[in-house]
Amino acid sequence: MTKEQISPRQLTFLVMSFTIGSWIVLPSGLEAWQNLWLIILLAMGMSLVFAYLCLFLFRRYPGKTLFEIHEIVYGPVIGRLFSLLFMWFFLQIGANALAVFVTLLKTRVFTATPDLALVIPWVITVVYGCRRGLEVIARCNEPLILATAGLILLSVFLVLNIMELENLYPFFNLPLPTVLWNTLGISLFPFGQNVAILMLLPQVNRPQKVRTAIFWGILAAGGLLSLLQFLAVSVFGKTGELFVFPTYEFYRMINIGQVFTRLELIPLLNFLTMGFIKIMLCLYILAVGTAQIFNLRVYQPLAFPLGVMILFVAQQLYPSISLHLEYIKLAQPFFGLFFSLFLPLLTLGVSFLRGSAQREMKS
Amino acid sequence: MIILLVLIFLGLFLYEARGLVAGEYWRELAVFTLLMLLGLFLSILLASEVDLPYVESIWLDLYTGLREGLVPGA
Amino acid sequence: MTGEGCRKRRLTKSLWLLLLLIVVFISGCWDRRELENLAVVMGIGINRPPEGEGYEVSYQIVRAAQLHSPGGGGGSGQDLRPFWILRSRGPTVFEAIRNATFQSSRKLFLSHCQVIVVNEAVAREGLTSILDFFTRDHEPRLTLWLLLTPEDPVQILDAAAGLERVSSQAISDLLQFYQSTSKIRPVQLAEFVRLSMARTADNTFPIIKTTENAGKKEFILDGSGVIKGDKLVGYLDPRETRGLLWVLGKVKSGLVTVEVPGEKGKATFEIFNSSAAVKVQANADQVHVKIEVRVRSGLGTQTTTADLSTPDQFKKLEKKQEETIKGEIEAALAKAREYKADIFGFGRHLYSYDHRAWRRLVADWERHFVVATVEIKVKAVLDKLGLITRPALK
Repeated sequence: MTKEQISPRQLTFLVMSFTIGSWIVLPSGLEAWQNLWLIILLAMGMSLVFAYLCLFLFRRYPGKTLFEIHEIVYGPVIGRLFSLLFMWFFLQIGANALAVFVTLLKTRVFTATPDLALVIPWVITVVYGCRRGLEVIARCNEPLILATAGLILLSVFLVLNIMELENLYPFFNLPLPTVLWNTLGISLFPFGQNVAILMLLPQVNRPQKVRTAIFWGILAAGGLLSLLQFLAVSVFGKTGELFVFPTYEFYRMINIGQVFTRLELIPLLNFLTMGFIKIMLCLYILAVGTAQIFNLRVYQPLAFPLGVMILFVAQQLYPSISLHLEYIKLAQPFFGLFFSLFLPLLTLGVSFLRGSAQREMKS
Repeated sequence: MIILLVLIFLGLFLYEARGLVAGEYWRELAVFTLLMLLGLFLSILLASEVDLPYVESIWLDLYTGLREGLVPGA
Repeated sequence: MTGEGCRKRRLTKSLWLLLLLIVVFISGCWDRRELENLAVVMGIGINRPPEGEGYEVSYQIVRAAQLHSPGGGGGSGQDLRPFWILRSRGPTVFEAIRNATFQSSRKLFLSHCQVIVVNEAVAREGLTSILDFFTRDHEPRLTLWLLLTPEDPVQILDAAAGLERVSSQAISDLLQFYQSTSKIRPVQLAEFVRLSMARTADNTFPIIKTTENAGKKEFILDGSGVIKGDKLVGYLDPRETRGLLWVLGKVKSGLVTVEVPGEKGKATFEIFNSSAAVKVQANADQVHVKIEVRVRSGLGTQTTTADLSTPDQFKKLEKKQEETIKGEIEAALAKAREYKADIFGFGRHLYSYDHRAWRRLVADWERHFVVATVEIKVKAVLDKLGLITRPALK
């Protein structure tokens, strides 16, 4: 496979898009609604620790993807089994972004349009981008993430006249277990999904800068999401808890001199672009991962069938949004904990055990 | 509808396979064929509107089942 | 490959991606709706039908063609007003709205709806069951204005709109410029939802009535209805409404008229600015509230011939003004206690700054609110005279 190169800065941007991805319209942890913006900051700190642990793997095996590390650590058979587990994780991440996107469009914008009419053009686009390779995805991502960040920052000025800071009080009015549970939940989704980035690291042209790049990506994404949530709470107060898509709805309240009203296009655009990058990246990782599992030299032909699979899983992800919310609240943290923390740590532990064994063999 | 799906998949398959055969990428061709067949199968399932379980329902059932097993009555 | 050619190819690639992204946007043609196929609803009225079951919903629908033509309501015998009034019934508000398609040739479009006028009898039974639809559906705005009326809402929607073509638009404008008197408290749907979610404060809705003016029915805003939870429990007159607005810090302008001390006659002051600081403390079971209102105003007119521009007179007038404002607040407070409705949001202050105390008292907040000690301090500053110093006739 020809190796494509991306710069550390592009990596930072990719981490940002991947994190902001599907969370931007459908936040999790709504139980802690009023304090969510603070919890995001806490979760960001926690996920920096997770990222640091996962990056140990990369430092031990520089130039290797997660799947290649699996094969080195566990041997070809068990290693591939672990890789297959992760394939499912990436598939579900991508499908989740796609499914949430369809749900949003169906409830808010195109209420009468059939699902597939929304999904199929989307999948075609993503498959096309995936075939073009990581360089194109990264370059395409640059203007999109900058636009998203710009629009979120611009939102601050748009809501200045309708925000009430008193809505933010009191800080931390929840019992500690609730705060901790939600912090964990958010550090796993959306932050924990960044474990997928481990598949891209060998393609960064300056490996020594990888860690800083990822840290900045997580910090920036956490800052933006926290800011967005801050705005939503200060505009809506407790009302936001009611909505399925609160960070989307608060743009409906914007009213600047009767001229700028109903600016839902802003979050829609943000989600469209970020979701696009996220799904495309997931598909790319899936295709490259499959190629690595089967020792293939090209991954491009796999993009289409895998895209169809993302579509299928997205269609079969949840029967209704209420079940999805239930899933996010109850099962998602365990699911994320298993893939984002437990499995990488297990690999790291086993590699330490075997690493000493290997050294003994060598000497 | 199903015929249309088969035609689309066949068309794309032939398009890709030509390049793979020319470059003697046999392994790639095998994996590609496998995935295409799987994709076709899943698409046909979707198109024929078979009632399939939902992924997150399965996880949720698993979660509640485990919780019941570990902490009965919780 | 040269660097130039490489960059060019990359550019084309990016353009392709952009083009494909556009495809995604275009895929929404199923929901295309043209303006000429829609009935644009500007105002909605909600009433109980005479049988007493379900809801009767009335709509003010704009006639786009008549909206910009001169001389609406012409004498040709035809109804050429720029709007059309329609009523329909159903067991729920949503079904009533859908039932309107039996009469309307076009589907009702709610995105431009400005006001919802609810009959008081319906409001007494609870508003959540009505307003749920307007928050859940994706068409209505969260910024629409809510009003109560003792009459049939159709009367309000049908009333002459004065300078505007459509009464809903006129009502919406009236509410937005409430500051000129500060005796109305406009409430948007989002605000209502927030208060009913938080349950830390009660709400008031403005009341609208019709009056006769030169043989035509017109509408007039008149005080507020006190909403406790989601039910109408009582009324505030315009003066009490302003008493409430003082405490909420929402008086931005308006007039205060006082008797001039030691003279025969009155003086009217125009308020330029006001702010309120509310502090709520809970010691054990007793709630203490401190309200401090600051007002800046100027002399607007006087009916005495005395020279009021001396510093000494200013002091006296400030004092008088403070008393008047304090009286308004006390009147509102008395009403709030009577209805046991925390319209001032003392509970919200307690929740925001001492949520432990709030959690302790919330179960019995109604009682704590009624017996809370309230200390009202008003600081009025009079610092403008207008263009002249004293009346012309001395």
